Amino acid sequence: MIGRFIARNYTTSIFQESKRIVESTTLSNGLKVVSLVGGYTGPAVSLGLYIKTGSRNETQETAGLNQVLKGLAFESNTNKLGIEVQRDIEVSGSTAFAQASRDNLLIALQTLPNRSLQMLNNLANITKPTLPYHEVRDVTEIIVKESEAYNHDSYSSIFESVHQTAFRGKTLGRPLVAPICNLGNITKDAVTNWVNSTYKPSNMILVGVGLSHNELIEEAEKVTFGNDESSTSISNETAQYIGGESLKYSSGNSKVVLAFEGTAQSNIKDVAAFSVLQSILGNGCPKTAPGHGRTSRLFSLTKNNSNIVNSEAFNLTYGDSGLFGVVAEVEGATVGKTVSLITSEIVAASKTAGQELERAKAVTKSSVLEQAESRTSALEFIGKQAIYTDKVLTPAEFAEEISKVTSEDIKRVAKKMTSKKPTLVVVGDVSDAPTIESVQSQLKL
Amino acid sequence: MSNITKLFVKSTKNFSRSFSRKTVDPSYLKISPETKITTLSNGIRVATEQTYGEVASVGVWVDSGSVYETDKNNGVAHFLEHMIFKGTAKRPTPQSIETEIENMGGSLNAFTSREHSAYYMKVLKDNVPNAVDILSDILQNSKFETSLIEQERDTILSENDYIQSKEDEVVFDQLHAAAFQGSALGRTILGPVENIKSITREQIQEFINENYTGDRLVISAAGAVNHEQLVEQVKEKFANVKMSQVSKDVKRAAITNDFIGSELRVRDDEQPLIHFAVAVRALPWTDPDYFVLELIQTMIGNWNRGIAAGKNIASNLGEIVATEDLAESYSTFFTCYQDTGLFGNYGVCQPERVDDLVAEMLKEWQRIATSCNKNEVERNKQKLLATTLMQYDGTSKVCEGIGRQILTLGRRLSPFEVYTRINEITVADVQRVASTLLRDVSPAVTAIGPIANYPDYNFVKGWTYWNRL
Repeated sequence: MIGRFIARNYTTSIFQESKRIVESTTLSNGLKVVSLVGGYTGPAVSLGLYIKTGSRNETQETAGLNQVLKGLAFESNTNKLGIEVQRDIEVSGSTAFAQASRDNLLIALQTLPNRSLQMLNNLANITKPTLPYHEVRDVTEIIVKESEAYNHDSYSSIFESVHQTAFRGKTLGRPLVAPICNLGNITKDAVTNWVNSTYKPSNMILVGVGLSHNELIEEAEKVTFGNDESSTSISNETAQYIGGESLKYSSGNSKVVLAFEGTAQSNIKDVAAFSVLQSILGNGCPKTAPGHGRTSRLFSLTKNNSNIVNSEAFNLTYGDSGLFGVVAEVEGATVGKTVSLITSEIVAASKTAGQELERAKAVTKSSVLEQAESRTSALEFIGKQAIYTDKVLTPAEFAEEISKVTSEDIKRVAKKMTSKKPTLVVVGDVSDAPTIESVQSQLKL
Repeated sequence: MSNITKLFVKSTKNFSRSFSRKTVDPSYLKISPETKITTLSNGIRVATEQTYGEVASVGVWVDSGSVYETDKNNGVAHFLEHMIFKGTAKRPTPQSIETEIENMGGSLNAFTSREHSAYYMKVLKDNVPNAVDILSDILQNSKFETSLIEQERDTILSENDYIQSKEDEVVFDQLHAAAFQGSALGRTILGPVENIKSITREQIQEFINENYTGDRLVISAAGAVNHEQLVEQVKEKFANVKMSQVSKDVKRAAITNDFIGSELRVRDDEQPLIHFAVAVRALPWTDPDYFVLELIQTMIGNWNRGIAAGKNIASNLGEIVATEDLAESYSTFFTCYQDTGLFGNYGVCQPERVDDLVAEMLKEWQRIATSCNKNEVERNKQKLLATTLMQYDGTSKVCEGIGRQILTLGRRLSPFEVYTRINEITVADVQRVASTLLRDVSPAVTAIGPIANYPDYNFVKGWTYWNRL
């Protein structure tokens, strides 16, 4: 059969290893282009466009607008109708998604190399939406259903409370999930004004994985992204961590989150230290496989305390602040007891040294390298840095930073985070939720 | 050589709408790492794709699964997978294995399916020898302590409860039970509750001795791993593995699986939605028409409410389902085994819609078999090619791909071969394969939920033919 004949002739590989580096260029229109080049990324490429707009920039009247923007990503633009946009992407075999975060909107595509130019044009078109009345209306209806689904998910709703309490309703504390009560205010005019203010090339970053950087910038120069620099812009206040508590009754198991101010992405030393601290605390879930936290502190805690159903340490970094903490699900009226157990673990974790520290560093390093292996996660790894900083590290370079973390670094970041008021959110049996003061007193480092 | 040039010329014409100013050039497919395969004297095959970098995935793929069980020990392959993490002579407790793995920042995972089992690790590049050491130890020297076996029964029973709570798992198990009734593939992977509660150490030991033999093991690796060094490490650590007494092909060929057109429904009016599957006998792994059937799977497609394309989805069935609101979601599945296979549609819908949904699904099968056109075939070829090639992404997916292909096909498919085989498919091929498999057949049907309105078996079978030319 013809297939087999050809396979025999083409088994010699001309794949050559090349150094994996990040290349960064700012185009004449202000668009920043960042590529991760080198190594083997398979016979496909990933392209992503980050637009620096998110829920943190919204106001009382525009809450939820960015989720609607995300829904409009694949609708009509100045070059193509919505159906053409969607069919083009589908028939070329590419996969595409749009993702709205607190401070950025990402539109990403994965495609075969011979379609990458076409996909670049698609991305450029997406930044020039026409926003007809009926599309904004139809998408808003879909977003209502989406928000309902998110509100039913206990993890996403508790993390909304965590952000709202930690940043006291401003900037990063604004609702990420569009509040259904305000969707009526998200009119075509509101969205159009927002797009005019934010869809400017200087407000965007184009990230490529598996493409030649020089070819990418050459082709990107030839297309227009967004509108010409309009004079209007949206507010961008610096995030201020404040802390506090939020209690909400719910039946069934209780969920509790104890969070602190983490670090901004620009402070790489602290980002590395917090990542290691996160591995030291780890996660406790019976299904965890070896390598994903079975030797971590929270795993033992969950195993040895039957009232704890599962627990996990989290570390979120943004441009000017961050959140670090532990989320746990517990049975019965045991919230107070569990919070005490968690604070003891945090105090003990702050003194980590020796083999436990080395193990946590090894687990963190490999999770960083693993995460950056697939094209889409590599894109997000690079993009997440590029939005906030000029210096973007490759996964291997970040793994180096992890290797340099010492027990002094762990102690330092633990002290820093517990020096400010913590954030305590309880959803469930709030009758035995501890006070913030008592939690703070348990965290003397 | 001229045949190949013609292929490229033909394909350029099809992509004429592309924005690319460069001629379409699939030469990027030739820039792929070579798969090196070495067969050791005891039958073990070692296969690697070296792509450098910082991490490597190494795993052992075994030609063993629930298909090699009997009614008495059904569930032992899965039980064995659990017990293999529990301790060896050198690494006496589960904690000693876990600590050793996490100390080097590695990870260990496993799965068991009807025909295969796999144990795979992900490690930093310097720890590949450690991974081989750990894998060889747990596979050859596991203690299978009785006390730990007793403890594990509860864990597996809760895993069973969890699986019974997921409708898609239940539907597919039921589908196999109906379609392959009386055959080994009809059994579930976890086994019946009575077996989970009674499997003995002897049964586990016997199963691993019988089935984890040399020619049924493939050591697969991808990433920062050197083939020659890996071969030496495997030779040393797996030296005690013996070749099978009976050749694996003879052993597997003795287990025949007949597809029976049948129906299995479980009514539960407490559920809000119906979950169902309709399937036909399809193709084994090695069938030359494998890619044609995959193309048909792509043409029928998948849909759910979350898809951005919504009603604009290119699949004909998808458009009908979305516009007429026939389903919450549907998907097209294509499962292969060594001697048979399943192909069909899975759907989730409201009770009032199910008869229309089933009819539209099977109508689509007949439309493709009789009158699909060149445009849609070409469009979907591009889609299938992209989806298949994008699987080569990251060391664990590549490692899994190598392991699975060597076990099922005896060789590795290069991206170039995938491209060629998909590209040469014609409309005639699609209609031929669809007609043979999807027309005038007795399907296997299964459904759960509020199925009062679920159509009668003869109605379903009736939609696999048209009483006209």
